[in-house]
Amino acid sequence: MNPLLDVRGVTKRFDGITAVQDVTFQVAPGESVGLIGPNGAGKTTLFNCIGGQLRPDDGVVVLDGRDLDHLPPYRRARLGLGRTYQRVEVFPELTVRDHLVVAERARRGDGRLWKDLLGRAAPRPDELAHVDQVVDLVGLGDVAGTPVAALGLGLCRLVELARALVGEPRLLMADEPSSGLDVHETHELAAVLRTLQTERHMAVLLVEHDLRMVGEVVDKAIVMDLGRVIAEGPFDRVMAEGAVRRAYLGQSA
Amino acid sequence: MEQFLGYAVPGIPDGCAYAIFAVGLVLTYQATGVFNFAYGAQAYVSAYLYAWLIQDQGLPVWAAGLLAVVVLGPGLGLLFDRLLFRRIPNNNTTAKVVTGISLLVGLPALLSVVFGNANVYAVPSIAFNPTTVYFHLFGLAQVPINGIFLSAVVFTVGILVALLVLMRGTSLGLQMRAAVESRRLVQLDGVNADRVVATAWAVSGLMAGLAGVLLAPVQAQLQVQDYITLMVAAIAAAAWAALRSMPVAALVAVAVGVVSVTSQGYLTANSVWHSAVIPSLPFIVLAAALLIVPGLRTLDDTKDPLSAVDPPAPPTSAQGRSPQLDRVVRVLWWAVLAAFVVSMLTWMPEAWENVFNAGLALSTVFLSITLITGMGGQLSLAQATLAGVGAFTAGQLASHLGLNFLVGGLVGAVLAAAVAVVLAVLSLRLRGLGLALMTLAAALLFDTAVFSQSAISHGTGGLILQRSWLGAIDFFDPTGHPLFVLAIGVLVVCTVGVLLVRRGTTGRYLAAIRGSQTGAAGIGINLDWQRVVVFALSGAVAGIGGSLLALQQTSINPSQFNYQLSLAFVVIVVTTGVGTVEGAIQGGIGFVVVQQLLTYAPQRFQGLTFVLFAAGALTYAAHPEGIVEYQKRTWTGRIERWLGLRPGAPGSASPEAAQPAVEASR
Repeated sequence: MNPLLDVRGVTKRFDGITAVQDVTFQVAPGESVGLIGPNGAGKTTLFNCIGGQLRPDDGVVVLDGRDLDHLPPYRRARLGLGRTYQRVEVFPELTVRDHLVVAERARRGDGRLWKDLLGRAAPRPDELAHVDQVVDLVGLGDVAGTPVAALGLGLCRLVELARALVGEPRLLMADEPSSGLDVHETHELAAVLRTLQTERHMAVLLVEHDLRMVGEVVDKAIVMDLGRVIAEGPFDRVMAEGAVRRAYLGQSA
Repeated sequence: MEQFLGYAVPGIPDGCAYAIFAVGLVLTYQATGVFNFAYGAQAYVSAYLYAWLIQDQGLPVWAAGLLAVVVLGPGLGLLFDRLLFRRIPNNNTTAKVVTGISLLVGLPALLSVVFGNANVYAVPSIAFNPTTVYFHLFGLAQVPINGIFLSAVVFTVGILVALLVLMRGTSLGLQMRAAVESRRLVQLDGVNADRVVATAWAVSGLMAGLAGVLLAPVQAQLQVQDYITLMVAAIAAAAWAALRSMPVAALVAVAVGVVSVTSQGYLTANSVWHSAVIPSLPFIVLAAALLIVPGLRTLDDTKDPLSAVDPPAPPTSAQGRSPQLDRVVRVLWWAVLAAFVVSMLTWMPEAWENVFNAGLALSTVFLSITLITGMGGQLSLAQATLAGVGAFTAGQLASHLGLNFLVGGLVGAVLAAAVAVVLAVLSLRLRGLGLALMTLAAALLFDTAVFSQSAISHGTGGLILQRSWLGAIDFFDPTGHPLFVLAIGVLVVCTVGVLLVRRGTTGRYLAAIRGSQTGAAGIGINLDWQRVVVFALSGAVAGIGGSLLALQQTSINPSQFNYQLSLAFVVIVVTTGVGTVEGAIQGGIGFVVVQQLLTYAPQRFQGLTFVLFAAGALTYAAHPEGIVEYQKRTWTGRIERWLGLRPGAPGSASPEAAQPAVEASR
């Protein structure tokens, strides 16, 4: 089967520092992959190269057979790349529901000015139904009408997740989704991600420090250190490797 | 060669004047993180006090110079820091720009209120007599070296060397540069960052004072416009140095001065080059820098390593009214509107009807600021220019092609939208400060190269509107009221249009972009396209407002649409509330009413309008929703609690309180 995401030889340098060096890996459709490694390993930089926030100095990123080089982030999003961010990127003035309506329309490239001027831009019933379905899936039903500025960090992360999901992406890239959540919330989040994968056949690329959660969610783990991939394979096997334990946990093998 | 030197050498003092300002701007930016739009006003205040101390108080030149440069200059800088800029977070570029512009607009107006607005002439020089020729360069008769030349060169070189030593060679300079990157991190190292930044402001104030006093004798009359124009030219040089390198800024400044004066010598007078291109050279240089210099694209990126722990910026419109009170307020609004319309059509005196008509036209122009700044989140300093494009287009079409002025106004709106789109496309890679500077450059380009052309504006007298341009209805007859009906009709249509856009998908996209550009792009919003759309809408609304303003004033001249008005417009709307259409209307009506009321006060108080609005805009950092809007919300909150409509403090972030907020905030 063709991979959904194909990352080949991606390299990113900042003023002489190589943050990501010659990284190659693949994500199959419906597959769940954990990207782990110590702070400064280059995980978020790699995410930004895939999402289009940064342009790699070398290498290619291919989504479902299409080379993403030179495509700006919004075009990648419309091709089915949904993501959340290490530092939350929400829209404080909008309510949770509005977040999702905006995301739903943006993905379709909808938003004609003449519709606004004719007063025909109110959310349609089918849009609202879809939005509410995602809101319930993520567990934000109680705060759906609240401006996001009034929510805490944990809920903001869930809003980001819901916003990414409403566009029904083929690949969801989640950057430390559990930071700011308590143990119970993290467990529920892991369950949501598993559901998405099994029921909707959504591929997930997960950056996460909570290794227990990674273990719950992923089929495969990729370990990075100092910009390079140092191990790749099933989560349990990878975590048992000596190089990984040295780099990631600081333990002598 | 002799002829070349004869043309080029007189350009050096001009270049040095730019250089002193440019170096001061770079210093302030490097040492405080603030691009100080008020720099020209600071210099002017020192120059004015210097002249006043000598000419009115009879102080000797050296004592006046000492007071103006060493006491007043740093004092103003310290006041700016302590009262204003210290309270603005380093990443809030818009607040820093708005504060600087408020000072630029308000300080000179305050001076004329305090000291009266008598003209000041022939300010004495602090060193070297301006007219004395001290020697001839290379002994050539064509190249006399006078006092202006000597003081410009000597002081520029002296200042540059002193500042380079301060910034690169002392620990204070190192601490200043570090404090700009992260005040908090410097404090963790045991440095009193507040004191370091205050020192930087004092040094920058000293520089501004010195520049002001040095340049005062150059022009026959002391005028704030000269200082502001000089500062904008200096911004061009500072921009080529990416606001980083003082020597580069100084070199570019001198080059700009020399090139413009030299080329003036070689070009035939009365040519387009002579009248349009050369005077606008500094602004072309500024626009080119903004297009080319990569460092200017990342000016707004925070460099503070501790910024990751900052909470997201608070929203500006999350506080609202309860639905019950909102209904009451809405009914009151309709009642006021009805009473206003009836009054205007029945008993309103002619003078006041005229005032309110001007207010309605201004409100329409201000709606364009609601669009671009309130909704688009971008600061534009060219809104008066866009209004001018609309007005001059309508006027020219009427006078040359006989097109009805009202139809021409619509064509003008389309052209203004097109100009705005070109501006948006040129500045797609700029944000915040960079974009504000680009719009300022555009405004000045239009002032010096387009609106000033007699083919377009018929000189300073302007185009006088003809009755025949308007068809059957007589818009000049104030008792016939058609102008009022037209003005309020246009305002209502524009307001409804803005509200529809705001409540529609475009408004939601723009709210998303204001919240997080990264997040917005990540869900598929095309940021570039949205910016072009909001610029186009804003340009069109400004263009319509400009034509309306021309109609009300029965003439179109360049001074109605110059860059200083663009700056004043921003200050006014920021005070009354940039996020709501109410804010634009309150700004338009409030401005003309205050100005009309001041006509009953002594002449010197005319400038009080700008002082008031500038003072209001200075609170922008604390109340980005506008001080008038803030007071309104506070009072409606109190009324709600008295009436028992909403328990708790206004603005409590409970879901019940917050839920209707978005619906209610208009």
